[in-house]
This record gives sequence, C-alpha cells and structure tokens, in this order.
Amino acid sequence: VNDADVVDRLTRTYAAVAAATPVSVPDAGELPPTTVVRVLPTRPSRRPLVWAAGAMAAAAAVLLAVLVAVPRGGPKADSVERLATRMRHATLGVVPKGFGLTSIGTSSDADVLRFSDGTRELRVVTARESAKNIGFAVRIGQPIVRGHEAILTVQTPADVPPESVGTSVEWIERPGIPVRLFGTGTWEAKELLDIAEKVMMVSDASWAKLIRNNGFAKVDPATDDHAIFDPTFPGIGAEKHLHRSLVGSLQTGVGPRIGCCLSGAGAIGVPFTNSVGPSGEPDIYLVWATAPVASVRISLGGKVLATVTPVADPGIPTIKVASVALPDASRRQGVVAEFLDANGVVIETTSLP
Amino acid sequence: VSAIRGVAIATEPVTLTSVYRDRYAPMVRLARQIVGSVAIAEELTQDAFVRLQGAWDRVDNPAAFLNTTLINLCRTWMKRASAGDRLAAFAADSPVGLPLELDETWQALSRLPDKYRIVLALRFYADLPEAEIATLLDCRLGTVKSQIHRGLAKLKEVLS
Repeated sequence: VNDADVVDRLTRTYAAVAAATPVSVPDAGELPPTTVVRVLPTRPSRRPLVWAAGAMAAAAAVLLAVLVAVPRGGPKADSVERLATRMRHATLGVVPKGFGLTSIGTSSDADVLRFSDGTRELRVVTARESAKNIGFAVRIGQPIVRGHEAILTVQTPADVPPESVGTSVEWIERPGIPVRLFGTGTWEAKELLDIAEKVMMVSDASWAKLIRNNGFAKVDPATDDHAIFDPTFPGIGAEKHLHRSLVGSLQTGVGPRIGCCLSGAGAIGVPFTNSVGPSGEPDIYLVWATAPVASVRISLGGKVLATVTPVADPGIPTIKVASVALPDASRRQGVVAEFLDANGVVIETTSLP
Repeated sequence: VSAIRGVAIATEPVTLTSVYRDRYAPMVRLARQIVGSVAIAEELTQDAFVRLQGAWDRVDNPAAFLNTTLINLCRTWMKRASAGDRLAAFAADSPVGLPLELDETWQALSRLPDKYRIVLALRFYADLPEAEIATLLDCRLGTVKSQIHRGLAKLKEVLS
C-alpha cells in the first residue's frame, strides 16, 4: 500500500460510508402549524436521546428548538432492570380530581389515555421509539420529571382559541420509552408537572387489562390507524355517517358479530369507534366517516347473510348501531360488510380479516 | 460534500429551520466518519443545533458555527467515552455491504487515534483546505499538516 493508495482507499471508504448513512431530515417547514414533531433515534440506545422539536410562534416566525433529554438513574440489579423493561406503558397512578377517563387506545405509534373534566383534556402518551412526530411548540422550560430531564412546551400557533392551546411535558422514562403529557385548555405548568410525577408505568399485561376493563377496542397495527378511541363521540351532527371498521376482537368465547357504528357529519375524518360491550356485543368496530348510510349488507362467500338497518343505540342516542350474528366463528374470515346509501348504492365495503 | 462547506440558503433568508434542513444530513454523515455510529452522530448533530439555537442572535455564519461545534462535540464525546465504547461505536454500527477493501479501511480508521481520524475526515471527506481545518480546530497550520501526514502513515501501517 503506497501513499496514493491510502488516500484513494480513504476517499472511497468515506464516500461509501456516507452513502450507507441514511439520514431522515424532518421538514418542519412543510408541517401544519399545530403538528407536534419529535425525532427519536431509530434504534435502542443507552446514550442520551436527543429530541428535536419545531417551534412556531407566529406564521412568519419559525424557530427550531432542538432539545435534549437525558435518561438518568443509577445502576440497578438485573432482575429489577428486567422487570423495568416490561413496564413500558404510561398510565396515571392518581387521576386528577374531577377528571375521568374518556378513551384509551394502542397503535403501532403510541399508547394513549385521554382524560377530561368537561372543559380541559389531558392525554398520557407513551410513544414508540420508532415513532416520528414533529411539532411546533415553544419551549417554556426544562424541568426534572421523575428524575429525568423533561421538555415543557406550549403550542401557541396563531388564531387558536384558548381552549385549544396545548401544554405539554415530555421526557424519556427509559431509553426507548418516551412519555408525554399533553393538556389542552388552560394548564398551569406546575399542575401538569405534578400530574407527571404521578405517572405510573405498567406492563403489557396490565395495559391490555386496562383496555379490556375500560371497554375499548385494540387497534390492529396493520391498519396504521391512529388509535384514539373516544366513546363520547364529540361533534356529532344530525346527519349520520358511516365509520369503516377497525378490526380486532379482545373477546373470546363470544359469537362473532359485525357491528356498524354511525355518527354525524361533524365527525368526518375523526377516527373513533364504538366500545366493546358485554358478551354478545359486536366485535368489529368502525372508523372514519364516508357518507350517509341507509343500510348494511352482510355477506359471506357471495351469499347475503343479512341486510340490516342501523338503529339508535340506547346507550348513545346519537349513534346508530346495527349488529348481526354470524353463523360460524370459524368462518368469520371473509365476511364482508357493505354499506349502502338510500338508493341501495354501495358506499363502502369492509371485511373481517 | 459541497453541502458541508456551503452556505445553507443563498436566495432565501437564512433561518434556523432552513439551516437545519440543509445541514442536518451532511453533518450527521461527517460526524459518523469521526465517531463511527450513526446514532451517536445524530445525537451530536442535534446537540450542535441546540448550541446554534442558543447562539443564533450572535452567529454570523451558522454553517461555520455548526462545523466547529460539531467537531468540538465529537472530540468531547471521544474524550469522555472509553476506548472500548469508541471501538464499539464503530463495531456496532458498521456499514453493511462495503467491499472488503473499504471495510478494512473503515476498520483501520476505527483504530486510529481520534485526532488523526478527525483531520482525515475533514480533509478527505469534507474536503476542507488545511488552513480551514486549522481554523476550525483552533490550531496551527503546521499541526494540521503533520497530523494529516501522521494519520495517513498510521493508516498505511495498519492496512499494510
């Protein structure tokens, strides 16, 4: 190897390594002003994780704040460490006074709990490490939460009413487990930080139980739908709209059924679903609005099993529900639901997986 | 490479966002040539933007500020990390699919003393003139020249 060879190999190596270094650059400028963006490492790391957050105080002023959160904590015994790694879903150990749980959900991106006291909302979000969200928020502090450096931000995009202003505190509970508390409405920073201290991490099993006990469905990660389930169905108008189905049943030993959930025009584009009720309730859930629906036709292998007209759910009068029992649990695969308008035209078709 | 040396935006007003958009990826790649790991390179790069954001009002040339800050952060990281950690950063994040000859060179780079790895990356990857490297590293031109010379000699020794 002579000098020229070394330089040649060096430059070719640098070029090859650079080409083998894929870097994703968040384009904050193209994001809607109220979106929240976080850039997280794509692999587990014991190194301090670095978060980037955009900042938009006004339409003309885009600032980018790149913030650092360093996981802390001393060495732990192996068994404690192993136990801790299973505790990867954030919940609240103590629910704030006056607040009630309004929804709970899991998706490939995050676990989400939503609480409300009627005027303000609080979300507890455990994001997946691979999740990429980018946000415009103004950093207002860097407090310590549960022994971790946290980022306290407030979203102040132009022309947003006070009740929609978001205050957020986020930290990395453990490498790969970012946790975020997001409050909408008027929140004092201290109030949010006090609640953050009460966050409790629970295991997969406890999280699944929490979902079951609260009567909400689980999202199939393959659908890639955001899973904020809201049994309160806000913004429902007079006109009924169909929400296409999310799949997945948490129940066993229940005869397969298809449920159809209709909501008003105000809910278009808002993904939500009906809840998993007691035994015998439908086990397929409905997602986003498309058009008014007059009836639902259920078929299997080309044979129509039933055509049903949605009726009002006595529990939630603004929602219309239709359900039909399927003949055989083993044959639920391939069951097709077609949603028809008043003229009998199929608006939407969905099938059980 | 030109993006490493270039000015972020020529026709639009330079904002932190525009600098971030233009310089983030090249800086990560430069840092990776020095520290070996993409994850660490990303962290150091974002850390450099933290510093830039804090100093934005008094920085005339964001690109130069970022280069200097990034190199300093790389040096600090390498100083604080153990020798084992530094080697592990290369080993754990070795580029996949490199031809054998280039892979050997990459491994050889990982075993070079840090100061040589920095100047070699700045000279032969970032394509910076020696004088500019001296400014960036806050050292004399002669020091840069001798480090490049010794770095290449060491590399040649390892490769031979």
